[in-house]
Amino acid sequence: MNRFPFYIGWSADVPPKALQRARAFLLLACCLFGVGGAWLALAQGEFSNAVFEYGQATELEGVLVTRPAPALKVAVGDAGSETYQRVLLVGYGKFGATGILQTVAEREGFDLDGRRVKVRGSLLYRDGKALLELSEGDAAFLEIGQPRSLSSSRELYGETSLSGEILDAKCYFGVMKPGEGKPHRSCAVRCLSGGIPPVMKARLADGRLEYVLLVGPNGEQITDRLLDFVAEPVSLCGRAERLDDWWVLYVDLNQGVGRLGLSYPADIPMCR
Amino acid sequence: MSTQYTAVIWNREKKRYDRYLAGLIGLFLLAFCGLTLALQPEITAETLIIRATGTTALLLLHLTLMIGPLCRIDPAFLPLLYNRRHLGVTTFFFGLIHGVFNLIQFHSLGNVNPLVSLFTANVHYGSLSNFPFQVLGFGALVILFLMAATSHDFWLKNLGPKAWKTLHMFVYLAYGLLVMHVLLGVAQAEHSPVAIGFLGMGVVTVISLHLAAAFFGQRGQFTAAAGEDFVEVCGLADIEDKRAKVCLIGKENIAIFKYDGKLAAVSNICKHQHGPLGEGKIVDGCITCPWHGYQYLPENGCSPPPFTEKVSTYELKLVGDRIFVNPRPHPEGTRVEPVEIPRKHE
Ligand code: HEM
Ligand code: FES
Repeated sequence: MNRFPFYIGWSADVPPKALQRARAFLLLACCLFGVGGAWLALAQGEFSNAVFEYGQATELEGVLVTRPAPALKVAVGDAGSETYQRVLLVGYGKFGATGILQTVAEREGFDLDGRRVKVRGSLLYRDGKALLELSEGDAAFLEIGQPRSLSSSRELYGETSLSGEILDAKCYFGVMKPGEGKPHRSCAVRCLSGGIPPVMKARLADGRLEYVLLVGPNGEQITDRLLDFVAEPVSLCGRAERLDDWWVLYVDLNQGVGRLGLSYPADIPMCR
Repeated sequence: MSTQYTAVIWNREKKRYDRYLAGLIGLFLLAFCGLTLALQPEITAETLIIRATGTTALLLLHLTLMIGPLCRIDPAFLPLLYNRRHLGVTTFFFGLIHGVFNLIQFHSLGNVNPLVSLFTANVHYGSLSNFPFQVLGFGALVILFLMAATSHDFWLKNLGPKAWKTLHMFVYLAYGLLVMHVLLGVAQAEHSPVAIGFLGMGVVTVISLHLAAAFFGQRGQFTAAAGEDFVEVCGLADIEDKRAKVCLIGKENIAIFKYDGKLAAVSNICKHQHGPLGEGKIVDGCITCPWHGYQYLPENGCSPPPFTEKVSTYELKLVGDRIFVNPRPHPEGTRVEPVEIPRKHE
């Protein structure tokens, strides 16, 4: 169709007026794209300093615990001080560690809970909390020792109500930025349904931020009951305690999950 | 208007157009990615790619949507329209990178197929603030894909201009979906008003340009109800030489051309992409479409051989210096003897 010796039907050359218009449009578009790019970059919310040591292996030794969430109890501080950090264990991709632990337990013929183990994986950490991704699956277990009974530092807080956002531990503590909020909602659903432990980023009455592991009244998994409420402001009731370096909320599901929805002024529930 | 098809027919103008387009995108990416990395090196590569490509795609879509009405308001903008197809395909391409990265990041490596997860992870279809906004982006991506895939003249020919045009009108649906994709997505999480401000400006610009085009596009157009045989349209002096007067009589959209001391009337709608023939010009004795240069002979509405496009023709009558047109169309390509303009009027 370009057999015509003219440009868009007018003449052999672009008429000066058209050239002028095209130039003006281009100039305006340049301003828009340049200034817009810079401005939008500046307007982004802050990204966390969370780290995911993707592709980088770390070996950790500690005592494996499966409740309230699979974790490795690692001694911290001076020797004999009996202070432990719980490094949560998760699987590769959007999966928790439970499947891997089961595979290893079946292979070995005994339960892993309470045993001293050495595992290899990729670390994730943020705000003093750490997770280990068992990237190699059951091959992540390098050594499995005898059961050890370890005391846990425990503080009971009793019945309480906490409000905040339900997140999946893996994305929030390292893999994704932002690993919370509306844009991340479906990913959090995917991760939680894959068995990654649910955590509430809770704002306490005194304004402090705490990360709270969420389990049922008897320490059982309740992920299915929470999926509908992730990534939005909610309140939960239950019994709270501090277990080593993590808070745990034994959620009272009879009281239900309270939707706060305050930060979503645009919400018009249509068929809820 | 080709008798055979090539993937892309390159010429100097198209190459220049693409160079400017690449420069524009480069400028945006440099500003956005450069500043983000300089100020917030903690960002993950995935998030940077997702944000940069999504925003580029939406910006390009705004340009695409602005060009059409700009050309109707002022035909001097037409060089921008000539290669708009490359703009559209580039928009789709950036939307695709954005969508694929999102599917990988948010939905892959899980316990459900990523495409199933896209629709089922968040099921709050009844809520506004919790609405699964990613689905809206997916819908838009499908439309952009269909448009990009059928943008070539080969498809235009096979679908027919009407179906093709209808398909391409879906771009407005895609645009609406994307506005909601952003409003119900990132806008629910980011606190800065800048992004929303930009989007608002974009929406206002696109809408006002379309309203202005609808208004100015009617300028100088004659409108009448159907019914009578011949309808008086205008005087001889109202048409410039080698140009046309457009009239809408009932449903008939007619362009009356004046050239070489003659008058001829054909359909105002180009067979290619429904461009406005009446805003075109007679070049080398042919009516030449202002959009992409398809040509038709004024006396029979046929493209000169070897081309085969045909438009309807209409009967004209000159009484004194007043032009009358019969709004009943002749079948496409029917020869109608042009009306000679008596010397005294020339
Ligand atoms: C399968 C299709 C798509 C999916 C799954 C998807 C998903 C997403 C997600 C998750 C976000 C939030 C990302 C963030 O946290 O920053 C987002 C943002 C955005 N999307 Fe899409 N999207 C899709 C298609 C599109 C298309 C086709 C366009 C434009 C042509 C688009 C334009 C945008 C824009 C402008 C933003 C805001 C900037 C940003 O945050 O990335 N999206 N999309
Ligand atoms: S619409 Fe493309 S040449 Fe007329």
